[in-house]
Amino acid sequence: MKSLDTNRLPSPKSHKFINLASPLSAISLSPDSNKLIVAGRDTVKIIALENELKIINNLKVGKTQSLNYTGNDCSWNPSLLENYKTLIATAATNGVVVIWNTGRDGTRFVERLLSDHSRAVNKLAWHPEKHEHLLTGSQDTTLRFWDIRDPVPSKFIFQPKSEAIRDVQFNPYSSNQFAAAFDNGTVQLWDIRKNTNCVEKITAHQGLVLTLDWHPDERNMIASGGRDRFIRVWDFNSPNQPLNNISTISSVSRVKWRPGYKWNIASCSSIVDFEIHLWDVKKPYIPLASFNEHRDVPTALLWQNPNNLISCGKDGYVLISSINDAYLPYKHIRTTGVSWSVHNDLAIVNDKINRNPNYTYNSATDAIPLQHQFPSFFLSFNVPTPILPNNHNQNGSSASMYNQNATDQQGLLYVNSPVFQSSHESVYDQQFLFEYFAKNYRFNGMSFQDLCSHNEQVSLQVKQYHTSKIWSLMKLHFHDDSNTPDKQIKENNSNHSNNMNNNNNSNSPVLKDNLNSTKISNHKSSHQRSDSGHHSNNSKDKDVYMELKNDLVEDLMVNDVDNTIDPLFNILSAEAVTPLAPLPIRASSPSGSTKLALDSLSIGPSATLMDDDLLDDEGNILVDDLASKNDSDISEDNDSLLVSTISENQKSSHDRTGNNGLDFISTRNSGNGDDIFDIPEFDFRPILIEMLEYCIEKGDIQTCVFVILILKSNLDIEKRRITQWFHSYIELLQRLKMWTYVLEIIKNSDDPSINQASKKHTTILCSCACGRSIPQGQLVCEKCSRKPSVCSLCHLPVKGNYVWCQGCSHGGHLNCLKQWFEQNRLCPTGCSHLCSNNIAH
Amino acid sequence: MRVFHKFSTEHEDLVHDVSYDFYGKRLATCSSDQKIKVWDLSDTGKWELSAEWKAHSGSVWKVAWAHPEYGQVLASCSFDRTVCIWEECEDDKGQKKWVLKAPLVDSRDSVVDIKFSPKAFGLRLATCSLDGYVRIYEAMDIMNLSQWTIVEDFESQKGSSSNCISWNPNPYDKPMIAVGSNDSFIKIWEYNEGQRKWVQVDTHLPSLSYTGSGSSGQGQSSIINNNNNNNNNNSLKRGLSNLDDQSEEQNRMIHDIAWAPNMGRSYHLIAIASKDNTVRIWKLSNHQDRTKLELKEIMNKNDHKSEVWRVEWNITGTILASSGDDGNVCLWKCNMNGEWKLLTKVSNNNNE
Repeated sequence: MKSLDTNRLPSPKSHKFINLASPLSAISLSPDSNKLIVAGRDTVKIIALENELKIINNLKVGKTQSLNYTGNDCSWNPSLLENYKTLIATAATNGVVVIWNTGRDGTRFVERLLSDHSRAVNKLAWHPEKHEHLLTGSQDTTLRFWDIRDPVPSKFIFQPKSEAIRDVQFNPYSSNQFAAAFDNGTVQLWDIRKNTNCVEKITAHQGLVLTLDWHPDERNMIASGGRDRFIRVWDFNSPNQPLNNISTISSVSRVKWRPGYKWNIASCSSIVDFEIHLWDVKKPYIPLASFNEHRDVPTALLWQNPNNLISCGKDGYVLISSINDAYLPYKHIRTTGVSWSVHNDLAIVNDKINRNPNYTYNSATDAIPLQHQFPSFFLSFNVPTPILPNNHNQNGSSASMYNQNATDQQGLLYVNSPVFQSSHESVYDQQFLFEYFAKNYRFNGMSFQDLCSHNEQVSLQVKQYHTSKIWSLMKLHFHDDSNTPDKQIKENNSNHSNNMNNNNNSNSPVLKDNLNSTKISNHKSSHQRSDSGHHSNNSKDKDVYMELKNDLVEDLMVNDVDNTIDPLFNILSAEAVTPLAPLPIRASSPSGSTKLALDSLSIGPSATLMDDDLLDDEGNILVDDLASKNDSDISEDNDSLLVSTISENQKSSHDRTGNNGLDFISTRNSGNGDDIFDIPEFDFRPILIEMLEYCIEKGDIQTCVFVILILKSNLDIEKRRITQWFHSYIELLQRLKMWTYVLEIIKNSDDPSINQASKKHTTILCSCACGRSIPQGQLVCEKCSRKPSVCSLCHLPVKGNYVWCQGCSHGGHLNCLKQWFEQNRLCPTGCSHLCSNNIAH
Repeated sequence: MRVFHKFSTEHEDLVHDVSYDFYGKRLATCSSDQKIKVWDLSDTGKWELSAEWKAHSGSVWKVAWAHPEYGQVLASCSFDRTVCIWEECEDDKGQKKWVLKAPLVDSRDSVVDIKFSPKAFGLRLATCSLDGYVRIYEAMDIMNLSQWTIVEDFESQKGSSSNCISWNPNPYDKPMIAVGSNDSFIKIWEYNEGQRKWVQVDTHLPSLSYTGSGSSGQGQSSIINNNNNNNNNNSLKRGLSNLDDQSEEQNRMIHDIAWAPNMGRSYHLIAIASKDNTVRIWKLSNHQDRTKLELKEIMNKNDHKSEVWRVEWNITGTILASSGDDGNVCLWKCNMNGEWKLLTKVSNNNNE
C-alpha cells in the first residue's frame, strides 16, 4: 500500500515507532545495541529499544536555552569498556561538542564541553579502537581529532583548506584512516597521523557531498551521496571512476550500507522525498524497497539488523521499519507495453521481471557464486520465474543467450501485424479492407440502384458477403427510379397496412416476394421450391432472416476458430473492418473459395462467369449448415433467400453488362402481376437500422457511413449518433492519411457540423501593398492600379497557384519557378536570397 | 508471419511502455534507464532509432503522443515525480531534436500514468500520481507548449494512490475519466459544467463477485446514480473493513484501464487489467431514463494466470490486447453472440 496522506499517522505496519514531537537530526546506537541516542534541534534523549520504544533518559533537562545542547549529530562511544560505554558525544550548531556520561549519578550528565570549533559541527566520529579519541568535522572547514582526557583536547587539527565538512567516518579496515565529505564536491581520505595532506582525494560530486559511508565488508570501498542527486560508489584503489552510480530524485542526505547484503544501500533525501530507499547498486534505477512512513524528510539511518532499519526524521518520529513491510517497487512496476497502431499492428514489449525480492536476496547470500550473481545487472532481472511453463524448452538456449549478450533478452520490441503476403489468400486483413472500401465504395454520381449494386460488387470482390447483403437488401427495398427511397417507403407502408387489413392469410410478405421475383427471373427451379414454403407470415420471415444471419455467422465463426492453424492469422483475418463476413467459403468449402476469387467477381462482362453450379454449391453448403438446426420449411426459406441474394448479384452483373438498370424492378412487377398492390409491404428501415447497429457493434463504421450517405437521412437514427459515426470514420481516414477521401466525405455529408469543417480556414485574403484588400479573382488593385501578384520570372500576373518563398517573399507561377529552381538555387529576382532550401521541394 | 519486427530497444534497464503515434509511423519507448527512445518506420519497413535522450532522473513509466495537429509532441511521466512535455524541433542546422518544453512538477509522488484528452477538448493532459491525485493540464496557447496550467485536479480516493487513468474517447460526451486505484473498483469522473469541477459519477461499481456477502456474481448489473449522495453499502463496508480486507482488496488492485474507442456505439466499453490475474470488460450504458449510468461486467477472464499489467484496445475498439507477467499477450474479441472470447495468445517466447 502506498498511501501518502501527509496527515496520517505512521501505519501500524512499522512495528515500533515513537514521536518525540520535535525535529530530529541524528541517532546513534549504544554498543550493546539496546539503547538509542536521539538528537534534535531541542532534544537529546535516550530511547530503550525494547518491545516498545520508550524514552528512558532525557539528557537535556530543564529549560536551558543554550545552543550547546542542540544536536546536530550524536554518537555513542563504540567501546564496550565500562568507563566508555556510557559516553555519548553530541555536536551543536554553535560548534560546541558535548560529551555526556550517562553513567553519572544525579541529573546532570554533561561530562565535558569542547568548544574549539567556531561554527556548527556537522559530524562526529569516535575512533573505532582508541576509545578516548573523537573526530569532528565542522562547517568552519576544519577537522579536529580530540583526546577527551586531555585538558587541551584538540591535539590535531586538519585544515584541508577546502570548504565545510559534511561527514566524516573512520575506515573500518584501517582505523588510522578516515574519509571526509566536503562542500566542494570532494571526498578525501586522511590519515590521523598526518595532518598536513590528505592521502587521497576524489572529486565525487558536483556541488556538496552530503554523506558517505564505508562499505562494511569491502576494503577501501566507500559510497557517497551529494546534492547532485547521485549516490556513487568508489574504490580508493582506483579513485578515478565510480564503481556505480545511482541516480535518485533529490539530493542525498544519508547513505547506509545494509549489513549482510553486499550491494544494498539505503539512502534518504534532504528535500522533497520523504521516503527511505533501499538500492541495489547494481540496479541503479529502481530501488529494491522504499520505506514511506516518515511524514517529513528522514535525517538519519541506522541498520539495527539486516532487516530492520531505524530512522528518524524532521517529523519527530523515530521508526524501526522492517524490510518486509516496505513498499517493493518491483512488485508494482509495469514491464509490459502494448500499443495498437492504426494499421492494427501490435507493438509489444514484455520484459521478464522477478517480482519476488527475496528470491534475489536469498540468492545473494546463498551458495550462488558471485560471478553468477552480478556479471551484469541484467541477469538478475532475467531470472525466469520458475512457474512459467513456457520456459522449459527454453532454458538451455536462454541461458546461453545470457552469456552471449544479456541485453538480448531484455527490451525486445515486437511488432506483430496481420499483413498477409500472398494476395491469392481468400482473406483480407482489416487494414486492407478498410482502405479498399474507402477507395471503392461510392455514394454519389449514380442512381440509387447503381450505387447499391456497385457497393455490393465492391464488397463481393473481397468476399465480404454480409456487407454485400446489406447493399443488396438496400437495393431491393429502397428501389426507386426517382432516387427517393423515402417516398417508396411511405408507399410500402401504406401497402403494408392495407394488406394486413385485407389479407389475413398474408401469404406473400415482401421479402419473400422479392425473392420469388428474383427467382422467377433467374431461377425457375428455386421458385418452385420456395413457392411451397409460402406459409410463413411477415414477422416470421423477419425472424427467419435474423436467425439465419445469426446462425450462419455463429456457425462459421465456430468453424473458423476451430480450424485455426495459425490463430493470429485467422483471427485477424476474420476480424475485418467489415467483420460481418466470417468468410463462409473458407470455413466450409475451400474449393468454392478459390472459384470465387477476385477475378471471377470483377465488374464487367466477366461477372457472368458465375455459373449456376457454383451458386448451387455455395447455396447448398450454407443451407446444410442451417438444416441441422432448422426445420425443413425454414431451411427452404433460407435456401431461397440465399439463392436469391446470389442470383441478385448475378442479376446486377447483367445490368452492368448493358441491360436497363430498372430491369429488375420491372421483372418483379411483371412476375407478380396483379399482386403488386396486395403485397404486404413492410418497413425495411428498422431492419436496416438493426443491421447498421450490428455493423457498429462489430466496429464497422464504414458501411454505416456509406449507407447514411446514400440514403441521406431517411433512417430513424439520432442525428447526434450519425454525426458521431461520421466523425469516427473521418478520424480513421485521417489516421490512415487518406486525406482526399476525408474531404469527399466531409463535402458530401448532410450534417452541417461536418460539412462546415471543409469551409474553415480555407479562405485566403489578398491585400495590395497599398493596404487595399483585393477581392478574389481580381488581378489589379482598384486603388493604385498595380498588379500585386506578378510572377517574378515572367512578370505576368499570376492567376491560380502563387508560389512564393517565405524567406524573401518573392514568387510566381508554379511552373515558372519549377523550371527556374531546376537549375538555380538563388531567387530569380536577384535578391540573392537562397530560396531553394525553402521552395525547392 | 506473425512477428514482423523484432528488435532490441537497447535500453539499459526494464522497458516500461511503448506507444504508437497517431499514424502508426513512429514508436516511443521508455525505460527505467531514464531514457526515451523514438523509432521511425523507414520506407523499407524497418524500425530505426530516430532519437534517444535522457528524459528524467528516475524511471520513465509512460510515454504518450499528442495529436499531430499540435506538432510532434510527447509527454512522459516518471518516478522522479515530474511529467515532461517534449517537442521535436529543428535546430539551426536543420537537425531534429527533442526539446524539453515544460516540466510539470506538481505531483508529490511518482507519476504513473498520463493520457492526452480527445482532441475535441483541446491540448489537455491528464496525469495520475501515486499521491492519489489526478491532475489535468492544458496548454492554453497551443503555439507555446511551454505554458501548461493545471486546469483541474481531483483526488480519486482519499488516502489511496491512483494507478491508471483513461479518457472517454468520445468527444460527444462530457469529458470523462476512468480512474483505477488500489482496490478493484474503477471510478468514473466527469466534468460537471454546473459545478465547474470534476465529480465522481458513481461511487461504486459492481465487481460484486468479490465483495463477499450481500453481493452477487459477475454479470450482474447495477444502476448508479449520477449524484453520489447515496452512500452505498459498499463504501460503508469498505470503511469498516479491517486490515486484512484491505490487503486483500489490494491484491485486486487495478493495474491498467482502457476506455474503448467509441466508433459510434451507443454504449461504452472499459477494459481493466488487474493484479488478481483477471482481465475484465465493463459495459457502461445510459439507463433508460438517461440520468443514470448502468454498468455491467461482460467479461472476466484469468487466462494470464499471473498479474495483468496492460490492456489496450485497437483503433476500432473491436479487439482488446492484454499483457501480463506470464509474458503473453492475449487478444480478446467479441463473438457474434456478444460474448468476449480469447482469440489468441501471442507469446514472445516462441517467436524466434
